[in-house]
Order: sequence, then C-alpha cells, then structure tokens
Amino acid sequence: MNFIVNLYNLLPGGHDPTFRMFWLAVIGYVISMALFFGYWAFKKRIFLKIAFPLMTVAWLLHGAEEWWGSIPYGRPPVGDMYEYLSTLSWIIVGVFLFLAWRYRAYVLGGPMLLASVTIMAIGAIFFAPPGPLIPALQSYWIAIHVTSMVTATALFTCGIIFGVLAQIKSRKDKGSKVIVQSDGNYVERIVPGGASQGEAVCLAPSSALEELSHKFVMFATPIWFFGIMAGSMWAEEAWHSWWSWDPKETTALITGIVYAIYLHARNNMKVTGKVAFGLQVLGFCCMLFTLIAVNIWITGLHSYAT
Amino acid sequence: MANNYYQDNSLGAEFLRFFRWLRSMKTAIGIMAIIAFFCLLGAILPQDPSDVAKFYQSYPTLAPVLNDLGLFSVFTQWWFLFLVVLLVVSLSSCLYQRYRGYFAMMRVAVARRHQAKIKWQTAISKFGSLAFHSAILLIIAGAAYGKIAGYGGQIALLPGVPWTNTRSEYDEFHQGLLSPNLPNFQLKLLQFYVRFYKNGTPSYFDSKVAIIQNGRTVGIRNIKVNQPLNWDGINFYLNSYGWAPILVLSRGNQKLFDGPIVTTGSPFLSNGVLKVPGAGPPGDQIGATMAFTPDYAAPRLGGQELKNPVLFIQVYKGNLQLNKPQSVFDINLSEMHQIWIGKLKPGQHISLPGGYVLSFPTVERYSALSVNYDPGFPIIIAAFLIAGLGLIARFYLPLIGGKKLDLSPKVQPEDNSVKEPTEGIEVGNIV
Repeated sequence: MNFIVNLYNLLPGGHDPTFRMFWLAVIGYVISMALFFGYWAFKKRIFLKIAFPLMTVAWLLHGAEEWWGSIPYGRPPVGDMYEYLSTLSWIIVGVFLFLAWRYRAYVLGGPMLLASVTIMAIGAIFFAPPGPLIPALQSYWIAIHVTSMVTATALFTCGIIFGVLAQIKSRKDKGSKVIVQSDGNYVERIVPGGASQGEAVCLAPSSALEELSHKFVMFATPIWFFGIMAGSMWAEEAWHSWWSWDPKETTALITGIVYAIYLHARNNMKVTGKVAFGLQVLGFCCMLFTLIAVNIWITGLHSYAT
Repeated sequence: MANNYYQDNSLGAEFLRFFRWLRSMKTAIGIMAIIAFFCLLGAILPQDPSDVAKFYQSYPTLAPVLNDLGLFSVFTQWWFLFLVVLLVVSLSSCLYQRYRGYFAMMRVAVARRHQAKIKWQTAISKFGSLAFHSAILLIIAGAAYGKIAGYGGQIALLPGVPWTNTRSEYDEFHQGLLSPNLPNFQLKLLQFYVRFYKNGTPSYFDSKVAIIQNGRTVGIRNIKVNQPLNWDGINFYLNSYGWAPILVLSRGNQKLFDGPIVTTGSPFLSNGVLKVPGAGPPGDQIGATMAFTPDYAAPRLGGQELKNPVLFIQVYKGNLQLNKPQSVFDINLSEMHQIWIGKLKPGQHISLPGGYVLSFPTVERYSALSVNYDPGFPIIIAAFLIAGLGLIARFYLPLIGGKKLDLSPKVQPEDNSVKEPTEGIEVGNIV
C-alpha cells in the first residue's frame, strides 16, 4: 500500500490531487492506446480484453477529476484552457466508447486515444487548479456557449481522425502499382489491394470510414453554429453588441463557413475522395487556429480564455 | 427568342446569363470563400486603432501598405460590404428558385398522396435547409437595420451627479442614419461596490443606479458584468470603474467649480483634467491636469484599494480654447501657463495665486458604461431561432430511423482474373 502511495506521489502535479488524477487518467489512456494499437497489428482479442476495461476506468477517473473540480463552482469544466482541452479529450474518449458500443469499432481506439493523450499533454501546460471564474465569465451562458464549442471541437477532431484513416485505408484497398518484367520490357501492373481470403482484418473499408467521418462533420457543424449563436447572445449581454468582429468569433465563423463548404461539396455537388478530405482538413486547421493561435498571438475580447 | 438566349447578345440576355451565374450554388460558395478569406485577414491584422498604432511601430514598412489597402478596417470597407451584398443577391435568388422547386415538389406529393412518394422526414429536412439559408439573410438584414436605426456610445456615471440621456452627455457617441431621438430620462449612480481577490484583481463589481423620469425615481437597478440594464430598449453595460476625485474651486464666496473629475488609465494611476471656463474671460480661465493614485507608497504605487490616496496636480491659467473641438479627457495647454504644481490628499486645500482656493474634499468611484440601442436585435433572435430549428431539421431529423452504418471490417472479394504474380519492384501506391 505504501508503495502505491509513493508511486502516486511520484506523479507530476505538485500538491494538487486533481492534477494527479489527471495524470493517472493519462497513464491509463497511454497503456490502453498501446494495447488498442497492438490489437490492430496482431489481431488478437486478448489485447481488447485488457485495453477496454482499463480505458473505461481511466475515462471515469478523468470525468470525476474534471467535474469534481468544477461542480462546486456551478459550471461545467470549461473555465480555462486546461479544463477546455481536458474536457475535449474526455469527450473524444466518450465518443469512442459510443462507437465501440454501437459499431464494435474497437480498432478506432488506438488513433482516438492518441489524439486524446496529445490534447491532454498540451492541456497540462496550461494547468491551473479549479477555482471561481473572473467576473466576465460569471454567466449561465458559459455552460451553453463553451460546452457546445468543446463538443463540436471534439466531434470535428473525431471526424478528421476517421478521414485520415479512410485515406490510409483507401491506399490499401486500391492496391499497389508494380513494375513487372515481361519479354525484356518493364511494364506496369496493378496488384489489387485489400486483404486476401481468410486474413483477419480490423479496420472497416475506406468508404465506410469516409462516410463515418462525413456523418461526424454533419453532426458537429450545427453544434458549432449553435455555439456561435449562443456566444453571440452572450455577447449582447456582456460586450454590448451581438457581433463585434472579435478575432475569435471571426475565425469561428470562418471555420463554420469552411465546414459548410465541405458539406455543400460533399452533399450537393457529390465531391468525394481527396478533394472532400482536403476541405475537411482545411476546416480542421481553421478550427485549430481558432482554438489555439487566436488565444496565443492575437489579443481580443476572448483573451481571458488562456 | 427567350429559349435561345445563349446565342443572343443583347443586354437583357447578358444580364440573364449573369443572373444565372450568380444564382448557382458554386457562385454562392465562391463568394462565401472570398468573404471568409477577408474575414481571416480582419482577424489576423489589428482592427482597433490602438492595436494598429502598435502594429505601425512593429512593422513600419508594411503597415502603410496594408493601411492603403484598407486592411486595418476590413469589416467597414466598401468592397467587404459589396461582397456581402453580392452574397445576399446570390443567396436570395438561389433560395427563390429552391423554394419554388420545394413547393412544386410538395404539391406533387400531396396530389399523389396515396402513392406515398415522399417521406415526411425528407420533406421537413429539406424545408429545414431552406429555413436555415433564409435565416442567414434575416441575420444580415437584422444587422443592417440595427446599424442604420441604432445608436450607442460611452458614458461615465459620476457619484452624485445625474446623467441625462442627451448627446452632449456622452463621452463618445455614434448613431445610424435613421436613429430615433433619444428618450428623455436620467441615471443616477447610487452606489458602486467592488470586491477583490488576494492578488488584486476584482472578483466582483456592480453599480446600483436610479432611473429618473420627469424628476421622479421610477426604478432602482443593479448593473453588473453580464447583467446590463435595459431601459426603453436601451442597454447599459457596466464596462469598468475608476476614481473620481471631487474638486472645489472657489474665489472669495463664489464657487467656480464643484464636482467629480473622471480619471482614466490604470487602476493604480489614472489621469484626468479640470476645465473651468467660468473662472474668467479667455486668458483668465483655469485648467488643471492631474494624476490620481489610490495607494501611494512612495516611491512605488501600491494596490487598487483606497489606502493612501494622493492627487498630483498641475494648475494652469490662460485660454482653454473651448471654441475649438476637443475631447473631454484632453486639455489644450498651448495658450496656458502653469501657476501651481504639487500634491493633495483628501481634505486638503491650497490657495492659488489670484485669490483662488482649490480644495479636494474626497474621492469616490465612478462607473464607466457602454450604451447601446440596437433595434435589429429582436430580428437577430428570431433569425437564430429559425436557423437553429432549421439545422436540427436538416441534420438531426434524418438520423431518426436512419440506416445504421456498417463499420464491420470486410474481406475484399478475391478477383482471380486480375491477379498477377507479385514479383517485380513495388514503386509506390496508387493515389
């Protein structure tokens, strides 16, 4: 027991118990991520049997850490950059739990946990112990505006993960080009891809992953716009104008426009494949710019968010 | 001929071709993309005059070029507004066409009801899309109406001095072309309350104000951050607060000035001016510049709270040149000469040359408020509701009873006819 306590005290986080819980969750995620990747590589279900319960426990611990810190202050855990990024990764793991339950898509666990752990590592830089909000943020709108933004961000992140997986898988599905020597000449031949009969496969076909990614963007874009509108209503109460071209609200609008262009291209103009994926990547970059760059380099009305 | 207009070169046919181009979805998306690009420039480059000044210092060669291109005020440039107008025209003509198509489809569906050609979910979902796009137009209309018919500005509520809703009592005022007359009422600051964290940043502040109409108090409200006061459709927002030293200037038995001075700047050291044109004819007017600190711990400044208040003041005599336009926070010293310099503590008074007595009885906090009258906001709320419901109908309704996505891994069917021996050099994957 003493050994465990000593081990726990070795975790970074100083004297803050919530931050130690955060790192405990990170360790749980990292181990289960390795096991999920192991399942992908070796196709042995034993990996899942360890990874899935471990990740669930880490997820519950992570959630308890976040809500325990923020509920006493009567707000969701989105009060600063650390809480925002932590909640973001918590939702991503939550989405994976949903996908595992509904589609048995366990193999997605590796990449999704990789994203979560990366986000948490970035979030740890901004760590601040939970506390009351500054007067500017003391409003019920924080629960509506920031929660919808963080949810949409998490779903967009899931969307881009599936989009990348679809692109990787499409190369595998399509096969490869080989040069064969016949009659002294070199000729190009195409070797069909995909797994051969009897070979165990984990990842769904590229088209299904692409559709999943598209569905996530379709689900997230309305939430993103809802978040912008809620923020606008809040701004009317707090900043004396419902729209003031603040850098963060402007880039959030741009992100929404780019994702809207993706949806028009994908739904109405039947653009698929590389072009659609490119638009999705552009939208995701705009979202990252809104989330991080605007906080760090550009000062505006949202500057307290760091 | 109408149906042969592709060969027709008349002006009408040209216009029709242009209109057809404008109402296509590709054009609308293109315009959106261009608007998004300029928005990005507007988000990255400084748009606020004080930020622009800093940018000029950091990039002295680049800044004038950007200024000539109008990129320091992207959102008010004529070409930006032109792009928005173009989007409105494109979107509304596109929408008109789609509404017609939608209702034609519905008529057919209703006529052939027993054949059940159309699912109700699909019908509502399509209408949701139309509603959302209409809401975009409504938002732009609401924004334009608010700009044209609204007004706003900055005010300071001084302790004990009622503020009247007239143009001259605003420190900064802007209005649209069709803004109405300002309704007549007064605001009076009753009490200002602030609480601090240990590190000195404010944890809470509010202002208690009385609303006075025709000399009668008709309401007493608390204004705080995130809780504006709405009166007659006008919103009053508590922005910040500051110190207002109260000064009295007299000569003999005659009181020349008695009132608070608004000081602006940091909470540790703020600046203000005093202008007393009534002290005499131009040439004998009195003016002063001052700096106030609530906690003077020489040689450094202390905290934000009133512990050791000190007012540093320079008094001038001469011509204030009030016939020339000037800000209430500035004083034109070009025709004035200094007659006294020193510091005062609350309760002290000094005698100035010429028989004047300047006293500093006390200091109080004033509240800085933003005022905004936006008659377009109800339109915005309506548009947001329509947009939200439209998005739900378009994107979430089809999810009910939708087909479950098949994410099970599949083994690709083997096709022996194309199977080639895999000997050879692999040069790369097919894109």
